[in-house]
Formats: sequence, C-alpha cells, structure tokens
Amino acid sequence: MVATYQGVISVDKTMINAARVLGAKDLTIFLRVIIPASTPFILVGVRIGLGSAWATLVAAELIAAQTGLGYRMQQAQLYYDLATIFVSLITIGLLGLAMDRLLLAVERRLTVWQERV
Amino acid sequence: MQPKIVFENVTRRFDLGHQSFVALDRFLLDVADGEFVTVVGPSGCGKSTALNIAAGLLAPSEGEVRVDGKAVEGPGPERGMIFQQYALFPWLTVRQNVEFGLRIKGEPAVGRREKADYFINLVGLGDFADALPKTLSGGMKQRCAIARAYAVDPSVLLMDEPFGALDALTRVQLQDQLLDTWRRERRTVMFITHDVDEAVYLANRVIVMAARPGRLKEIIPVELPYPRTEEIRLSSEFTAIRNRVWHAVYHQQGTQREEN
Repeated sequence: MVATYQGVISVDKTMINAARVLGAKDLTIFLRVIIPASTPFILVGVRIGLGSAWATLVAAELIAAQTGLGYRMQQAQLYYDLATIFVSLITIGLLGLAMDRLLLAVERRLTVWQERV
Repeated sequence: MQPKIVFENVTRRFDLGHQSFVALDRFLLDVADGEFVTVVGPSGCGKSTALNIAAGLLAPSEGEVRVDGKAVEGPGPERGMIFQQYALFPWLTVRQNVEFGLRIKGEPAVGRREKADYFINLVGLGDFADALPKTLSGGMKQRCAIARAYAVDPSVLLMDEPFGALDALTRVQLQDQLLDTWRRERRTVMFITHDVDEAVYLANRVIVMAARPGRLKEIIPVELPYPRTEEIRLSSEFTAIRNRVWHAVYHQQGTQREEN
C-alpha cells in the first residue's frame, strides 16, 4: 500500500503532461500512464506483503488453527515428533521461497522496460 | 492572413507563500501560420511559462492565447508538445509510443500503424520501431518524441528546449533533421532554447525575452534562406544576426526598467 502510494506520487509529471497534450483525459492517464508507471512499486509492495502474510499465516496456525502446517507443527511438538517438525519447517521455508521466486519472475516480466543501472 | 498563434497581453503570476511573483508580464506575440519562431532568454524570463500556457498546461493570470482564433482552455491534440526530458512512456516500444495519441483519438489499428510507421521513418527510426526507449540514445529518444508529437497531426508544435540535454554534435544533427521534417511536414513551430546559435539557425524570427519580470524584449528577424546549411551557419550574415541576438540576450542590464 505504502509502496503503491509512493509509486503513484513519483510518476514523472512531464510524462503525465505528455499524455495530456496527446489528448488523454484523466481516466486514460490513470489507466495508461499512472498504473504502468507505478507497476514496479506495486510489485515491490506485493512482494513485501506476501512475505509478511505468509509469516503471519504460519504464526496464526501455530497459535490457533485446526488445520495447516503451523497446526501440524504444534501437534508434533506436543508428541515430540521431531521429524514432522522439521518437515513442516522446511516446507514452510520452501513454499515461502517458491512464492517469492514466482513473484520475482512476474515482476521481471512486467518491468523489462525499466532502465537498470 | 490571420496569425496562427496570438499571445494577447498574457500575464502569469505564481504565488510563493504570501508574496506573488510575475513570471510573465503582458506578453504579446503573433506567430504566422507555418512560421518557425525560436524563443531565447535568460532563465526566469518566462519562456517556458509562455509555452506551457500555449499548450494549455498552465492557465494565464490575465490575457489569453488564441490558436486559430480560438482561446486556449486546456491541452489539445492540435497543439503538440515536445519536452526536454523526452517524456516517452518507457513501457511502450517506439511504435507504441508514436501510436499513443492515435489510440486516444480512436483511430483503427491499421491506419494507426501506417501513420506511426510513416513518422517513425520520417525521423529515421525505422529500424528501431519495436525497441524499448531504454535501448535508445538521447537523440533517438527525442526523435521518437518528435514522431509521437507529429503523429496526432497537430497544426502547432511547441518545443521546450528539446535538444537541451543532448551533446553538441547530436544537437546539430537533430537541428538539421528537424528543419528537414518541418520543410516536408509544415507546421507552425514555437521552439524554446537557451542556445543562441540554435535559435538563429532554426528560426524565421528569434524572440528575445528578458527576466524579472519575464517579458518580450526584442524580435529579431532571420532573413536567411532555407534549407539552412553548414555554409549558412558559418557565413558572415549568420554571425551578424547571431551577435545581435547574443547582445539582446546577455546585455540586459540597464534596459531592465525601460518599459515601466
């Protein structure tokens, strides 16, 4: 959310003016200039958001869920089932990593146009 | 014949906290149809302000700008603008950038592509139509911006120091190319620059402005034939006009209050 806001306010004013002199109205400017220009920022926000959402989900499951990896770990802890604890831990890590990598790939695809120094 | 662009006593004030600052003071100018005028002056002389008002991006505090007899009340595709920072859309290819304005006009895909390709070729970017702006040099980006402005078929081109960010060599090339484009696709051009040579080389008339408050100082006609060539650039007539403009721009002290 914060990243998106930052992205929107940092859209180059000249770019918006360029669209206006080409005849674009507000809605067109929003759809065709502001959204694409802020896409990199939006994606950064999504990535950060995904990380904390995943961590929060697992933590919530540890405390108060009837299903899920966190719950399973909690149960295993109760019975001192080390194998299950470790498998769950690794799965949590791998799933988190996989989602992050997937998003990164999407981000790369959507922002190939960015000038990287 | 009715002038194409008329600035009628255009004044623009900016409020800076509790005091206001006059960026442009009763600016008066007529630009003829098909004419190429350049505007030079020290920074703070209101040249960009005047251009932005003509583009409709800025409202005048007093007075008005008329294009074809109609008062300007906002941006419109009949007045194309080219910026110093290129302002291309980096996520679009050269062709998509050039098509941007046509798409807004609701032009069908086939005609759009045809027109875009015509102007892309006109500015010599034919081989780069599918390239993204990040792969282009500064000069190529500005050529793309020129093609984009031309594509929507404006009758007036407003250029705000378009070659200001380019190196001297590229700048000279683009000046020649711009004149060439202008001869083939005649439009009324108002071109802002702080480069005296550039101002004289391109223009039918050079508009010299003065600062604090920004106002018209002098209009210097450039009676040199087109096409302008290197020979003209190095001629004594060119130098004489250039010197005259130079003096008008750089020796403004003492003339500051003469109109008040």
